Amino acid sequence: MSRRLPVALAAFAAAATVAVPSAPAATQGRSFVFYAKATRAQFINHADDRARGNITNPFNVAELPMPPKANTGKKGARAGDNALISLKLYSDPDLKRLVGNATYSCTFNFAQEAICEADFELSDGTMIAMGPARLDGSAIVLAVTGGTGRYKGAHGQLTSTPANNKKNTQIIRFQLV
Amino acid sequence: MRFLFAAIVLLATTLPVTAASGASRASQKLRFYAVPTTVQFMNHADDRLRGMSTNPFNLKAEAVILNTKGKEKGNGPFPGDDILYGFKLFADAKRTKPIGTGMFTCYYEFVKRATCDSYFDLAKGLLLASGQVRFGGTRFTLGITGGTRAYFGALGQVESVPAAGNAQRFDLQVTGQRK
Repeated sequence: MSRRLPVALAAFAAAATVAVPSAPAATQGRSFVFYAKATRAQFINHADDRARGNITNPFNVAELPMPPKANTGKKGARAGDNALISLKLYSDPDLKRLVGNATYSCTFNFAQEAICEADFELSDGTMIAMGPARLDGSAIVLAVTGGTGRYKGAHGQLTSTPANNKKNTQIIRFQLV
Repeated sequence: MRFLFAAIVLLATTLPVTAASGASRASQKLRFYAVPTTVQFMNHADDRLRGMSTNPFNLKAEAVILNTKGKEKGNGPFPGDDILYGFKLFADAKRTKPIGTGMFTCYYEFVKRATCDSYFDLAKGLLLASGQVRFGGTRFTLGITGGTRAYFGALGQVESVPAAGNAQRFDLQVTGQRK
């Protein structure tokens, strides 16, 4: 794990700030819940690529409105940096029944927001979701864009919120069409 | 940035769709105008050079990227470079009615083509779109891959054409939403 793991990344899995009612873990029609615990993280700092890109790029300088405040402030989480987060997925809030793994691959853009692609690997298939996330512990809503196996053609959205009584744990609710 | 703008989605047309599963699916057309506000180009020249000597493949990348003097050919963008675009979105061509923000993340491949992932953050929810965009191209079409809240389960496509004042006009055909 990178020593430069930013606060924003660590906060992704931080203890809850939002109270979330406990939800049944079993599948309810096309809605279901997983409990996710972050296990690994890697932050990739592209400061050199950013600096080089500001000087050597294929654009007319006048066409490039550089972000005035986008790359200041909080350490890390600047435009173009990446964060990879690995999670274990459980079907129960006590984190006893392991049902799969997930990986979030995020590229930060501006104002400490990132666009994330999330891959969920379950015993009976996979799902992919995508969307913006702040990685600061606030709720994340991603669009589910596809899947395989039992989740072939999956489409809908997921909402990830911190568990209010479990450190480093997220409650991920899927709603599929 | 997402919540700085008053949100009024321009609903140009709403058309009922007879879906195979009944009338629970809706289709609509959206049009908005986008003005770039922030851009960040990421030049991965060092990563490319490092990747030529240390990689899991048996490739001669030098022939593609480098000239005889060891410098990269032309001005790029080269494979592996990426660019981030932030946009403000407006409902009208005069850009007086802000309706949200947009974000494009484009990853360059070969021959100056990029795969772009984008999202449009509107008052009623998010719309996601992905596809290929040629460097310098102002006309392109992306596939809508999903959405949230009012755009839950959205599919369709986005067509982008140039508009006045360094703006892009996005015409969206959104299908598959839950009514």
